[in-house]
Amino acid sequence: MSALLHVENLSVTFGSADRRTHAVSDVSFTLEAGRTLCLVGESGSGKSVTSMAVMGLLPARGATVEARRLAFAGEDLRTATPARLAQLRGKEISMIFQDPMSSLNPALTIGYQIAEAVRLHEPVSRAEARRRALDMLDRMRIPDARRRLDQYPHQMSGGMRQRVMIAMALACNPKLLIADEPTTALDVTVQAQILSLMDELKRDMGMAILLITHDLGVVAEMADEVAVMYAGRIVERGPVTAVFDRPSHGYTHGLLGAKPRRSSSERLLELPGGVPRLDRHVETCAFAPRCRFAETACSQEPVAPIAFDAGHMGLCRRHAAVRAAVAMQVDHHA
Amino acid sequence: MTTPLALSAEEPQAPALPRFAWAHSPLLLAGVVILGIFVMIALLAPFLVADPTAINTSKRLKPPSEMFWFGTDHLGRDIFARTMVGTRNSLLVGFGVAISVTLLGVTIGLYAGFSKWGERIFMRLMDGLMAIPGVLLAIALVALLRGGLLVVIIAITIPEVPRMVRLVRSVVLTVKEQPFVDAAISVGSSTPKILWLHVLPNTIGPLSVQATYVAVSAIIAEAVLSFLGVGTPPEIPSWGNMMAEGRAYFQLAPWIIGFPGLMLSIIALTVNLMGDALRERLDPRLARRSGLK
Repeated sequence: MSALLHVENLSVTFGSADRRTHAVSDVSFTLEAGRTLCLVGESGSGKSVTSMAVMGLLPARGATVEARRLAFAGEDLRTATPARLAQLRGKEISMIFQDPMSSLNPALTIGYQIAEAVRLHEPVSRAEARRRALDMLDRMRIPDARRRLDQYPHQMSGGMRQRVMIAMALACNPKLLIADEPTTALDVTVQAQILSLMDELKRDMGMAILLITHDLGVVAEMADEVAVMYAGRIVERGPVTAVFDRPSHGYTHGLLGAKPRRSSSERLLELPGGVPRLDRHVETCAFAPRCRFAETACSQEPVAPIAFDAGHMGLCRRHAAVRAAVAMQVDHHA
Repeated sequence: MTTPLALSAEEPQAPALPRFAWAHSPLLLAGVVILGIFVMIALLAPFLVADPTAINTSKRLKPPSEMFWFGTDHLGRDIFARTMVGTRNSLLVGFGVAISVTLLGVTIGLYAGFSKWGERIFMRLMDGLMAIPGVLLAIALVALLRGGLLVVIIAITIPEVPRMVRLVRSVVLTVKEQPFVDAAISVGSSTPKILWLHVLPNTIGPLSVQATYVAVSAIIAEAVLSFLGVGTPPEIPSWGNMMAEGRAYFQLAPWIIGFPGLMLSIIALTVNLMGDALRERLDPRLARRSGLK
């Protein structure tokens, strides 16, 4: 089966020739129907820019998007006309944004906004679209949905608004849902509800999800596959169990170590330093200066992708050392 | 094609203005009542008062009395009748200019806010217009086009447009960076749809406030033009030409210039107050605060 979303060597740069920011470099991944891929990384690692590039939402002025391949269901998104893109967006590919507070138009009722999303793609009557909107709100488990339809965004809480956003994004049963930190702005209980809702919809409708998050708890819960991003590159990618159990990149190791465990009283492992500046295109490992496994070669010679095992690959010449360290830790805990 | 209907049916601005507005703002209420009285006068004056152009040389320059409430002018015409009928002229110009400035300003402002070329061409044009003093430009336009209420409206509209365009464009630039515009694109909205449905409704607040100020300045500009003799033709009574005619008799008969001047002040103040009240009501920060209640 061919992949639903196929991204190959995607690079995004901002700015002019003399002051260029390499936000995303050489990012490749594929996503199949009914699967969830999580993009994980710190702020500024290029997760959101990657998703915006797929969606075609980056400003034409200022952003340069290059890719060997950027295809949805076999269709090239780079050469699609604006009209074709408008057809795809919402109908085939939908997006949920990070900030539920400002992602809804304050001047329109939420019922109208959801119905509008339906009417953009399907030739249904106003009444029918409204019925569909009501249906979506019910599926989002919004209590008293009928009354909610005629409310404005400012009359709802953040969790409600995020559900409305999701209802809007899912109104036409898209094949691919891009969710950019959909639960970051919400509290934990609402977060859990929203995530399980998304998971349910994925199972029911066979939808693929590209989930962007920095929350490893969310990843463990939701992901089939994980791609760890650092400084605009995917540094490690693979099935969630493989990446969590056998991290093979110094950064992934650090990231997993920074996750609190209740059972352990050990000090959290922190990553020294910060995300590097992205004004130069680097061929060497960008993480090397912060990496506890780094050797001189790391910051001098270019890194090439290495396949570890089935579907699990990464950009780390010290992967053996990283794995050994992980194995030792596991022994230690056991 | 169905979108305009959709807009009117859904009343996108509903949360900002509806029933609570009056209760919260006595100023707005007072403004609306006074303006309402003026509108009534403008509509009904011709049926209620004596002929404003009837000349009675035996009753020239009479002070206010029971018979002539506001006195008479140098031709013995009834100032009260003339002032009341003049209301029509002032309000027509005020509303006419406010509406045409808003329509032009929104159209050009939206275009300039969304198109690189629109911005380059129209914003430079607007800068050029703003460099010319408004009254001078209006005088030139009236001289060029000659006479009539419509010409006065056009002549006052043109110098007022640039400020409205700038306002609309600045709001558009802010709104189009809002996440909900990205969200609208991501569900497949086309650019015209985004302009109409997502950008336009969010400009209505600042726009309506600006429109009230435009109305005030148009009413005053009309009086200025008429005073200078390039506005409303002398056979139609307007506050401006009444004051111009009364100027020569100011010491002898101050009521000729006084009553139209008073009316002008009252209406200018009223519409200004309404503008302030509207701004308080529609300012996004203030509105959000009251929205949380």
